[in-house]
Amino acid sequence: MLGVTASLIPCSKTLSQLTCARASTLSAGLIGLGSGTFVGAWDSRRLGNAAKGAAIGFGAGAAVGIVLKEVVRQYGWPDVVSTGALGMAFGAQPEGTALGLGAGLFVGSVLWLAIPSYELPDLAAAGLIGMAAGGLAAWVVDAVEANSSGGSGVTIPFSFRI
Amino acid sequence: MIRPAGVCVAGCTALLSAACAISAGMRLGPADRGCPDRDVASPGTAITWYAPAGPSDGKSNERWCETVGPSVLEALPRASFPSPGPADSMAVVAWNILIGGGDVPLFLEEVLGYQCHPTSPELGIGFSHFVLLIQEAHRRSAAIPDVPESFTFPPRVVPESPPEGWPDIVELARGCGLALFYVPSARNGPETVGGEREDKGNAILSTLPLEDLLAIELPFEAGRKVAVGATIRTAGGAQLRVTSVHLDVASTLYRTFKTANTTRLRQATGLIEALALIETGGVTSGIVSVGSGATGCEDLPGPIATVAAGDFNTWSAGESAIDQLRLCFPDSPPWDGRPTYGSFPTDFIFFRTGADGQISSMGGSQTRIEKRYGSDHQARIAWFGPSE
Repeated sequence: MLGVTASLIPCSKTLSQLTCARASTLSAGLIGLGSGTFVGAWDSRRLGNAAKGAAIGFGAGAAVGIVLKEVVRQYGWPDVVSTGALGMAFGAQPEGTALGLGAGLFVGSVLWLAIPSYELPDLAAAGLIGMAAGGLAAWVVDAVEANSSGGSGVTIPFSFRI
Repeated sequence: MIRPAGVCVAGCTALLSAACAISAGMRLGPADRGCPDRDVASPGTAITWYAPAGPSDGKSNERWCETVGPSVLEALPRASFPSPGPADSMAVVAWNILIGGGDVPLFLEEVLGYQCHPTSPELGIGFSHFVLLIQEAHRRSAAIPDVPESFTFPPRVVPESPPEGWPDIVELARGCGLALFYVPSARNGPETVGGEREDKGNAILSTLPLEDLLAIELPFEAGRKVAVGATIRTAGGAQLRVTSVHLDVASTLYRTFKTANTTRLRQATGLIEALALIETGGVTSGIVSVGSGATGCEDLPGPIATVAAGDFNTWSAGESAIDQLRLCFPDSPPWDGRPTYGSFPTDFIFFRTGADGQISSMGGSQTRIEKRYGSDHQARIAWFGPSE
């Protein structure tokens, strides 16, 4: 979700918009998935916290979606699920995403004021990219910290076999 | 135990599928649905329809088109104007008139030197013949079907201070003695007022006769959009195809994520592909598959010079939809870099010459008209004429 959200505006300024969005989604997803996997393997408590945050985020996002559904004529239940999914991505790493969003909007505002050709959509794009970068950075930091703390020793009794 | 490597393989596969699910693929072909707008309120005239053939696009567009009335064609202007001279240019205007909120007669008088009159309008000395490519035209009619409220209706838009009498596009054309081609895209609310209902869409008004009429139903995003096209014969028989276009401002959040915000690129690609099909011989049977990223303009220029202009609802002039249109309309008059809807650059005029090279863009860049004339958009104007 963070990857596709970050791609929405910048990729719309390239002729290879779809390829750009797919690359962004895939790379962000790989970073998140890799980090999450190692966090889960080494420190299940952290993963539990992230899951709890994601659940809260989903609820909050979906609530916003339900309000939007009542206000925006074209919105339906798929849009409620979409706002929920975005809230889930935000809620799993609230500090990182919030910090990233703030930093992105700050940088975007400075550029908007300084560069005449920098447009309002660019400012919004800076915020979304910051949010995604912050959230992903938080996942990586969590993985590194989980590794250095040696893990909690708790194992999760299932595995995937391909 | 979790096996990180295994999780990664499974997760990567899921991610790859998710990334690839972001899609803007569509197909275009002749439309064959039975919607009221396939009928024309002018006997003996045929409109060639193009529509996206994808099942999702088709169903969504059909839900909207069953609420609108017939298209309107008055192919000949009600007054006879002097024929354009061999060296005369022609003005092409793109203007979103906000459901009749824009004062078209005043605009015609001040910008194009044209005095509206039902039978004896006057084109000022030294002024060009013109074509108005209108978006958000509205039409009132009892022929618009009275359907249940369970059908798909956008809410009614009423301009804050419309011109006196709030004439609809048919009344405007007749009151000004101009040729008209109007195709409704959607209803303007479900209300019935005085036995009449309203729909809205794109239109062409012209001082010259309109031929070879086209209606291009664009890929469905947030609402149904139908681009309208016609061919105009200028001095010496040179033909110019003009198309009035209106793209969506935004899709739903779900579609925005699913299609990676390719709302307008998808619609622009649909327009480009339909125009390319027409230019390269048209489609008379079957379905032509069109994938994402295909420009559809490799075989151009076709035989006829083409203008595609209107309200593209872009948030930035660097959007992929605009870049794609610039690629396929390489002879467009340069953009002046000025916004036409608040701070947003939404309105553009694109152009490509025909294979015969008879018509070209004249008079420098496409220009923004400073006054809004009651609309929320400023119009754009460009001139075209015989190549030197």
